[in-house]
Parts: sequence; C-alpha cells; structure tokens
Amino acid sequence: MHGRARFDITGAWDTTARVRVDLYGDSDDHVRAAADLARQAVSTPAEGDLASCLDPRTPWADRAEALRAGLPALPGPVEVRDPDALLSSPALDAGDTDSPTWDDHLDQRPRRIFLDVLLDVVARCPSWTLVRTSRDPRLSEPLRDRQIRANIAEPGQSINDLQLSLNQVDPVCVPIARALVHDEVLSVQAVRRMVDAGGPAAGLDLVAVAVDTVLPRQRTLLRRLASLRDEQDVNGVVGPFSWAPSTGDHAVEPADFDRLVRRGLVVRVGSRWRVPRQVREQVELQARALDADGTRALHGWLARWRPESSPERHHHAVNAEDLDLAAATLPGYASHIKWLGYTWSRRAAVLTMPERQRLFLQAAEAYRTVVRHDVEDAYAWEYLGYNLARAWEVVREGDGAGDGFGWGSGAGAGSGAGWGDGSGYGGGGWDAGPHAAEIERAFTTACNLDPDNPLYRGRWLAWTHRPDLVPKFGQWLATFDQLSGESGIRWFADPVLRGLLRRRDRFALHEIDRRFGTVLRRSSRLAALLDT
Amino acid sequence: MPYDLPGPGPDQLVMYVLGPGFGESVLIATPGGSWIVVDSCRHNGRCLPLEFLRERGVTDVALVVVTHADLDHIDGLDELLAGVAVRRLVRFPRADSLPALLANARDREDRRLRALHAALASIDAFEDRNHAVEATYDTQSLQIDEVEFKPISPLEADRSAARRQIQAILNGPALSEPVEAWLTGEERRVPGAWNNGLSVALAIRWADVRILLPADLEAVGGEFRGWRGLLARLDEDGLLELVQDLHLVKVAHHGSEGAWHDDAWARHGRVRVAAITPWNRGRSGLPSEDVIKRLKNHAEILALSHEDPKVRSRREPHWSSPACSPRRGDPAVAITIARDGAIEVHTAGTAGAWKR
Repeated sequence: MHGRARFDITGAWDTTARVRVDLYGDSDDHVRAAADLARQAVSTPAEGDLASCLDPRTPWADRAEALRAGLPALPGPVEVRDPDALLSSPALDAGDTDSPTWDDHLDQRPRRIFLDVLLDVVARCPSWTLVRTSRDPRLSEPLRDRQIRANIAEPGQSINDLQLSLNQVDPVCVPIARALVHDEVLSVQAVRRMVDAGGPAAGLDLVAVAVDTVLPRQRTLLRRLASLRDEQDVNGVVGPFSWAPSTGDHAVEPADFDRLVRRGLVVRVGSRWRVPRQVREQVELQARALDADGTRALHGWLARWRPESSPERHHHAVNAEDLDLAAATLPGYASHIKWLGYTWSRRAAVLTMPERQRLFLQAAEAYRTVVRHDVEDAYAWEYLGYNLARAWEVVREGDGAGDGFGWGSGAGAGSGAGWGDGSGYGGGGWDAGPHAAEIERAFTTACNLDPDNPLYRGRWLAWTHRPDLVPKFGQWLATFDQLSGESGIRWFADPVLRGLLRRRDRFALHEIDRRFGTVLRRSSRLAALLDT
Repeated sequence: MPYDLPGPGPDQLVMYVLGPGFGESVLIATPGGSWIVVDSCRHNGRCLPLEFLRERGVTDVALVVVTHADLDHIDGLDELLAGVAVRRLVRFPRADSLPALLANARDREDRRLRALHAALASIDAFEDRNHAVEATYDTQSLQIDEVEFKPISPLEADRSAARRQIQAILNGPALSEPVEAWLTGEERRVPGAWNNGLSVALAIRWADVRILLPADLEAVGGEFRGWRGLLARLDEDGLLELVQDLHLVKVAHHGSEGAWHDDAWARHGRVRVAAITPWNRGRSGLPSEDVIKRLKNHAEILALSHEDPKVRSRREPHWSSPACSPRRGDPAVAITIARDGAIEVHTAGTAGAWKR
C-alpha cells in the first residue's frame, strides 16, 4: 500500500488529517518540517525517534536518520503540503560546478535528503498524502518511480482553450490565469502565447502579470501579506493586520484584499487565507532586493506579533536580521541563521570601509551562532572562517573590493569579484587581528568535516601559507583530480593561486606552474591566474 | 523660446516629434482634436511635452503612452501627469523591466535614478487616484476619434526572458557588476539590452494612413524576440499590414544599428517620412552613419528632431537640405498628414529635414 499525492489549488487541508506539515520553499524547509513533525509526534510511537529533531544541537545527518526511523511510526492521516517547494531552491542544480554559488547550493543538499526520506515514507505508508500545488517534473518522476499516483483533476470549471493552455503550468497559477482573462488583462490567446514562450515556468510569468496589474496600493498590501508563510485567520482580522478603518500602517482595506483574492494572488479557504508559494516567492524576492529596510521592519513587527513559542517567530527574526532574537527563538534548529550570515556577507562585499568590516564580522557572528549549536555544520564553520578573514583582509588591503575576475562562493561574492579577492589573507605573518586562531580553527574544522570539498581545502591551504605549500598543493591537486576531475582542480587551485598572487609569492607561484602547470592550464581561468 | 510650428488643421493628423539630443517625446493631434502623448523627456529642466501642450492651450490629453523605463523616454512624466488632465495611460509591462524595479532599490543619490523613480511613482499615484492605467500585456487596440492605436509589442518571449534575467539577478549572490555600475552612475547604459526589447511599439491607423512608432525596439534575441519575433507574430495574426507600406515611421532607438531590421524596413516599403530623434551622448551618438546610409533606400524625407554638427556630418550628398523652411524656436518637427496621405514636414529650431 502506498500513500498518495493530489493536486490542489485551494489550499484546503483535509479536515481528517491528524498531522499537517507545510513546505514553503525557504532554506529552512527541511529542518522546520522535521521539527514540525516531531512536535506533532509527541505522545505517539514516533516520539522517541523524532525528539532529536527538536534539539538545535542535532546535526542534520542524525536528524535524517531519526526521520527515517520515526516517520513510519507516526499515526496518520498525515498531510504534507507543497512538496514541490523542496525543489524551489537551486540545491538540485548543484551539479553545475561552474556556478559561482556552487558550494552554497551544496549546503542545500539536506533539502534533497529530506525529500527522499519523505517520498520513501509516503511510498510505504497509506496514511500519508502529498498535496501538490505545482507540477515540477523533478518531483513527478520520483513519484512515478515509487508508484505514487496523483490525480490531476483540479477544482474549478474548465474554460476550454484556456484550460488546455494551462495544463502545463502549476495548478495554483490556473486561477490566476482565469482571473487575468476574466478581467480582460489577457486574452485566452495571450495566455496560450505566454505558455508557449515560458513553458512550465509560464505560471510565474502569469503571477508577474497579475501582480503588476493590480493597483499599486494592492501590490503594497500583497507584499505585506506575502511575508507570512502559514495560513492566517480572516475573521475580524487579516492575520496580524486589522481591517480598515483603523489606525497605523497595518490596516487592510477589504476591497483591496478581495481584489487580491479574486486575482488568485491570495487564496481564501473558509475563514483562512494564504498567499501561494509561487506568488510569495516572487513578491518576497523583489521586496528583499529592492526594499530591504521595509522588509526587515515588517518582519521585525511580525516577530513581535507571533507568540513566543511560535516557530515562525524565529523565521521573522531571521528575516528581520535580528540575530539576538533569532538566537533566542531557536525552534529546534539553528541552521536558518546561515541565511543571515549569507545575506550579510554578500552585502558586505559591495560596501566600503568601515561598514564592510563591520558587516563581515556580523556575518561571522551569525555563523558562529550556528556552530555553537551544530558543531558538525561544515558550511557554517567554513564561512565563519571566511567572513572573519575577509573582515581583516579589508583592513590590510585598504578598501579593495576585489579584482573582478574571480569565481567562487556566493557567500563571499560581491560585485562580480567572487572568492578570489579574499583568498590571500591571513596566516603566515598576515595580520588577522584578534581572530587569527579562530579563523585557523574554523577552516580546519570545515575541512575535517567535509574533507572532499576542494574549495574548503584550497582556502585553508591559502590561509595557512605554510613553507611546504607547494608539495601539499601537489598532493591535494592529485586527490581532487581523482575525486572530481576538472571541477575539483578548479575549485581547489583557484583560491590558492589567488592567495599567492595577493601575497606576491612569485616563487611559490612559479614552482606550482613549473610542476603542475600542465594540469592547471587546462582551465583557462587557472591559466589566466598563472599568467597574471 | 516657443515652438514655432503649425497647429493642427481640419481633417489632418499632426505628429510633433520632440527630441533635443537626449530624450524623446511624440505628440499627436488627431483630426477630432484629441491629443496623444507618447513618452516624455526633459531638456534644461523643462518637461518638453508639457511645455508644448501649454503653449497650445491644451489642458486635456486623451492618452499618454509610456513605452519603456529608460530615462530618455520617461523623464518628466511626473510633471506631465500633474500638469494636464490625462484620461487614460498605457504603460509598458513593468514586472519585466529591470530599470523600473531598480529605481526603487537604493538611496537615489544618482539624479537619473531619482528622475526615473519620480516618473514611475507618478504612474502609481495616477493609478491609485483611480485613473485608467493599462499595461501592455496584451495587444488590444485603442480607438481615439477615428484613429486606432495598437500596441504591438513587447512580445511574451521578450518578457519571459527578461523576467528570468531579473530573477537571476535578484536571486544571485550580489547584484551583478553591470547592475551595480548602472546604479552608481558609472555606467550609463542599462544593464543588458533587454529593456529596449520590452518597448511598447505603437501602430497607428487613420483611414488609409499608416504610422509606426516602435520606441526603442531592437533586433536582439532569437526568432521569437525583438523585431524578428514581432514580424512573425503579426504574420501569424494576419496583422502585417500594420507595418507595411507606411507613411511615417519613427526610426527605432534613435537610429541605432541594433534596432535596424532589414526585413522590417522591407515591409515598411518606401516611407514618406522617417523621423529620427538623435541621441547625442557617447562618442559617436545616434543615428549611426550606417543607418542613415540605409535609410536612403527606404525614406523620401528624413526628419531630425535635432540636427547637431555630429549628425550633419553624416549627411551624404544624396540627401538635400533643407526639405522645408526652417523656423525659429525650440527644436521640433511637425509632420502633418492629410486624409489622402499627403504629408508636409515643418522644422523649428535646430531640427532638420533631409530630402532625397
């Protein structure tokens, strides 16, 4: 017997479900959902196994084991909504080893692991249901492989040609398309053309049109509503907002809310409402990029509104960039705070002193908070070291913002410079201020936890700049050549060569070129560094 | 100094082309006495279309079209919307426009970003006051008096590609270097060429008269995008006549080579007047020498809204000048079209007209 999957656009829960878990498409999905499941497992046969998912000190690998062991014992019915959200992160594209954010993508591997665990459980347990709002083929395939069938009937009346055109797009975007046709923003033919041009991603194009063609004040309202991931009440209040007329910035005009509902941008089910993930992702992305201050302030306000024990309070604290509150509200995991470190680090990279150093140190503090809880998070250790090093590098190098030709980690990338501009810092007589020992420890720990990561190893080697650097370089080069071929060589050698260039260690560079040039020069990027 | 140009006459459609070297605004007086403004620009701090309308005592505009979010087409829109009563506004699809999004992104220390933001905010304010604003996500015709205005671009493929690029930029590790350079004012050109691909091109029909205002539409992208995609689309819809055998064309993107498309000009036939709004920024400016050369096979008269020495130096012997008596005043071109298609060109100030 198998569990099942079904498509749904209304957002309505099955009222008989005893356990409900929502996935939102954010980087904390896997740990948050695991913690949610653990909370709902209290006083059930699964409680013992899943309890560790509520302890911030539990490494991800142990959580995954706990989930594998515990979830089948969880009494149902269990409903998991929007499993496709686990694919919305670029995690699954991490195979692109040339991507400048390759290692950040790797950090999202646990999301994939969580999805696999989930699918295995659904394949075994008839009481589990996956509720899909999108049609990501990357999920449809494994579902088929596990013989988990989804009915494809969707609620709502079919509109002939329009319905045919929309068979490709996410079900949750169908009502949006219908509303756009109804409001004469688009003709049926225009929808068909959008689907032809955009393929499955046309759903997001439709969302973009729908958002752009409501009134400006309704777009502002949508931005506010979209900062909430979970379902909200609509009786008397609109989640944290009040109905107009009322005072303050957080009042909602009923007509504006209704317009968003009619457009499909807000889904209303009975006395509850939610903003579909596909809408929320787009609106939030723009809000964060274009109105960072406003977005932070809104999340700060929402964090205060949430009850103290609410897991979403932590999410809002992270998005408000309030590290103290985030650390004080850990809902069973600390890894969401990495998003904060990532955000601050990439912002620092494009700033000038002294803000630049302050923000790198702040990013390091975020990663420090993570490793204080999860000592096995290699990524957090690596970027603790990385951000500390960059904080001191900018002091040493003046205000250099990079040489602009690097490729490397997104967590340190800025202004197109990538990792390269920061790889020559520290160690071997370089002044890393009061943090030299911590940087060394952080890099070492990251490499010990993830010994096959060429980038981490390259940075460490560049950082230490030991007298035996060249022979060590040769050893690791051979290792990564064997482990991951050209991409391994590139990721390992790039930070080392840049580090040597920064140190103006021409001797070591020459030696590396003489001994390993044949291998390194297969990469044009590395050849350019050697010829610099 | 005022615009020394003839006013609209009976049973005439008059198109006024303002473009003093940076910026472009086209005003159309319909035979029924309505006014249409396509884009806005500023010169020496003055909002040119507003000034032009005020000089003629026009207080009511039937339609404003905002073709895209480049400053040379949108600057001063806030003044225009505040200065006259506008009944209807048609704008480009903003969700896919990077400059439109970025105009809200930073402390707007840069003058261009401030101006861009003010113009875009004025559209929002206009719409929030319950005025009619339509975004050109579809190509519905607008009828004003006897004149039909049909937005024929941007195409879905251009919009979809632009949205993906924006998504990638916003999602990326940091705003990309060209975007940063543009935001800080180091780079003047909008990052990526796709913003021009998102231009609203306007086909205009009045009786047998055909006019095309393609804004800054370029010939970039594959077969489904830009000029190529547009022709394919019009063909599919049986609407190629909108760009065929034209009386008047405003040359796309100030006469850049990137906006030139042989197939399109082959369709346009031998147009009576090709109007150009030169762009005097950069080393060589626009129109390009090459486009001027090509136009000799396609247009009887070149009407230049501003003829500076750089542009004049590109005139080849087969163009004679002037094609009409120059008048004093601010630079502008007036092109009057009679119902039977008879066309006259009038220039004022530094505007010029070349005849084959």
